[in-house]
Amino acid sequence: MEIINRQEALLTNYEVYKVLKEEDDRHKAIKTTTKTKYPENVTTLKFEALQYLNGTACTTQSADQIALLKSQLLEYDLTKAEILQIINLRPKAPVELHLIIEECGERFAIEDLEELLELILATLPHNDDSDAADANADGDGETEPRDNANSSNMDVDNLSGDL
Amino acid sequence: MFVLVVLQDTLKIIPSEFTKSREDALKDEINSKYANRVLHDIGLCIHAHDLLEVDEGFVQHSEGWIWVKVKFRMIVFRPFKEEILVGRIRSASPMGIQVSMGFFDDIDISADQMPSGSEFNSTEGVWVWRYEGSELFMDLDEPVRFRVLDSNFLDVSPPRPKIGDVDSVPASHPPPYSLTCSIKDDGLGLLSWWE
Repeated sequence: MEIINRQEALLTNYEVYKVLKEEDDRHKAIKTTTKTKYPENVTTLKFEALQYLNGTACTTQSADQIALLKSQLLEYDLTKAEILQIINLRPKAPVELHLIIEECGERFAIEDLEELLELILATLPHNDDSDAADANADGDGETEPRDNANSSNMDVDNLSGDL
Repeated sequence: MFVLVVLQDTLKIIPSEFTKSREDALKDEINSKYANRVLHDIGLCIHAHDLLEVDEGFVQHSEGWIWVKVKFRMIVFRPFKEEILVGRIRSASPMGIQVSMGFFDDIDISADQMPSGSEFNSTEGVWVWRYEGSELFMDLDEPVRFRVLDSNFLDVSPPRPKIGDVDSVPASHPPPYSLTCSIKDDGLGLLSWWE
């Protein structure tokens, strides 16, 4: 084995979710026709990683949404890592933005941050939004996966890599 | 938290895999070799992303399978420094807490990276953060937001039994890849604290 490039690109959770979901569907399709068994390390990791990602905001995202948000965030002068984390974590409160954005207090005014939060919530709608208003109804972070994550056929190769 | 890593390897496709397309057979072989494996200084391999270059392959004398040299991209779990992640509390001890992300368990938050005013409650077996007169318990299995401070790779060779001591297998060996993390900042810690 040879390592050609240690880090070609950063991936959003959405991109990983999509690959694993496709693979999961392929495995299920093969299982119905043949008796092919996949090695345990593959199936276990796939199951656990999908389970984790199902609890994050990426389940309802699409390539269009992420591309749109990326272009909208241009005017805020954020770094690549900051944009990636905004997409992955989908911050809902100013305190989360302060964690993600370095020296947030110096770079942004309070109004800017609120505008930014509204933008993020509007561009990346998620099914826990109704609960978000009354704060902690969604405390356990469990969200039902939706099917529309795969609805877009746009090629998102290196979506975050080109940030 | 995930990165794409370009790797090159020579893999074999055994005859029973010939019914699959070349691409699927190779991806399956890559996954069975690399999935859930830590590469030193690279991270935890999750899944093959795509194939970049595949040569025509060759059959060696007296073998029935094809060796194919392939250049591919791997999805690897390797959070960067200062990244904010969410996991669940797996266990707690006076030394600190361990957090799990389901597919990755070796996340350590030591006692000195707890919010100031926290202490270990030995009767309950959990950490408690005393904040403005209220006691906030860090119960097991609660979702927790943390910051990655450092990633540690350890070159672990397979455990080797000592000569003449056939039965002894080391009970636990250190993880090849672990993350040192912190919850000592506003917004970090249990998600329910900040809602």
